[in-house]
Amino acid sequence: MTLHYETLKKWKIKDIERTYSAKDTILYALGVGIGQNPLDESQLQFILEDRLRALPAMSVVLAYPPLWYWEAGTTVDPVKVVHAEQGFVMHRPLPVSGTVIGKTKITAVIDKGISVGALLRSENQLIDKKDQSLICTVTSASMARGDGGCGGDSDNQKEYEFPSGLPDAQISISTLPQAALLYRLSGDFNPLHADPKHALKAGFSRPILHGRMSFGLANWALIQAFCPTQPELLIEMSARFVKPVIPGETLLTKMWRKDKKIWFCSEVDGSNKSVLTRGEALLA
Amino acid sequence: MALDYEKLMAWQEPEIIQRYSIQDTILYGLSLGYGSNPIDENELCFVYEKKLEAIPSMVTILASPWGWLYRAKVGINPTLAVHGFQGIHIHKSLPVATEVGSVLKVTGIEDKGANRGAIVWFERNLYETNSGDLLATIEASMFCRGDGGFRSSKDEDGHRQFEERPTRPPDFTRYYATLPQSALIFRLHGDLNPIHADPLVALKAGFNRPILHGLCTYGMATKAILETCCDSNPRRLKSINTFFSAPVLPGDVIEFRIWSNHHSVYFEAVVSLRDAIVLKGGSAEVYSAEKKVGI
Repeated sequence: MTLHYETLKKWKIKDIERTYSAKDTILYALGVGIGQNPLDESQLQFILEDRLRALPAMSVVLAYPPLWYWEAGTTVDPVKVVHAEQGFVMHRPLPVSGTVIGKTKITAVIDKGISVGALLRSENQLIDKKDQSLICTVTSASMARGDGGCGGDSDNQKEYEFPSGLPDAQISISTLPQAALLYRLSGDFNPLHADPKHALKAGFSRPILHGRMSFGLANWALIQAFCPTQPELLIEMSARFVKPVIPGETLLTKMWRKDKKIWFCSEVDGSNKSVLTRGEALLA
Repeated sequence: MALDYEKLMAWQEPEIIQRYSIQDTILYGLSLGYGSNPIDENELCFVYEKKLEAIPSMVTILASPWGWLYRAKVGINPTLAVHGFQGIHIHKSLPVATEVGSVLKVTGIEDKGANRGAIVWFERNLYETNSGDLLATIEASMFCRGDGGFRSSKDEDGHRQFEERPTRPPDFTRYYATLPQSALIFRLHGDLNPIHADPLVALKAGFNRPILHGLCTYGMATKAILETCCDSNPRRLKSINTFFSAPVLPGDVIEFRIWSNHHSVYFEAVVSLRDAIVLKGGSAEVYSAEKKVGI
């Protein structure tokens, strides 16, 4: 069975409702490694309930339909799907607790050719159930590696113009060997991130970090560099996933800034292993 | 305000019921440092839902009336109170997810004199609400440093005595590193006392930075005994008791010294870098490989 473009474009993804507490918000922050310096107020603001703020990147994990392409009838070959891109646009700061509704739709199916696959773009609107206000628009893209040659939309992604010169800021964040085990308690229980045998079968020598966690680490790096005491100023962020981080590795994020606009990329510190590319962010 | 002996001895704490999930059991394992080798099966079984087992010392954080001694308003100065003793006796293997309940009872109050303080002893039985089965008996004390001298004569004999430390060098030594964020993770189990998280509150209590929960050190001692004397099989642990003698700071490396004599184990814990003995007079009882706690 091959991907059927018309079926997929019309595919309805069920809404997700999620109630989360301050404890979940704290657990998420600890999961991306915040608290490594427990005396640093800019870290404690994400950890202590009496002054709590939510890390903006938590928006991308709150009410995202897990692995919707595994549902029968999507015509996607789910085994070969990998997470390719992630982004968000904040419309207001994420509450530290509450009930949110995630409404997800497929926005584009882009044929990258038989040898590459089909890029499935989706958009997830995160809505506060209390007043129906829009908190965040989460964008995501997955590469269906088994479904190239399906026909589809043209890719209207704009050119990525990378600034020249040395980065304006560089932040490296170490991860713990048990980082994936802690992060998964925020809701993504894919055994690829915990079970050594499962990781081997998927072609990795050991369990890998969640792509969304690398994204969260880069989010924290951007905040540390440009708005450590006002995380809500970081209102937009997007990046492409290149390679996974192995728990225990250190992620180095390089950032360039021009006025409100930031470009960034992340790599494993001390190696040439690129983790996130085409990174862009915007300050309010 | 002096400690009100009669009121505290008669204190009635309401029953606490708690439902916990496998995620809570995993978080407890992670908070003790399990998973620091994420491909070791003997660690994964405490932090990954496949083949998951609960660590026996998790009973100390379940259905606990955190902060009851301060809420009781019996004349205790909370900023000067520290964890004194912790012990558990396991009756039945702890499920990885269920609903449990317990009622706390005060069992004794020792007066160590006006300049030393008072020791409040309490106990609770933890049972499974569904089956009614008794899971564990949990005993603890708080050393209230500012509340001694409520009696005319001080108590010479303690409620519980230190076990005698063997004279030979330890049979086993284990080093475990705590993380700088260990206390921030551990407090998610429910003990939100800011002395473990807020640098300013810790300063006011006389510590130059937030200190680790005694129950976290206790859980790490349980990990040390399980790995050294029980082949990492949680069903082989019958009881474990210890006195807290100095606080651990998040980031410390703790050295556990263990003396094993057949089924009875003696232990203590030291932070060598700061020259601090953090656990004293520790003892544990373990079953042999064949005999185990009921399932």
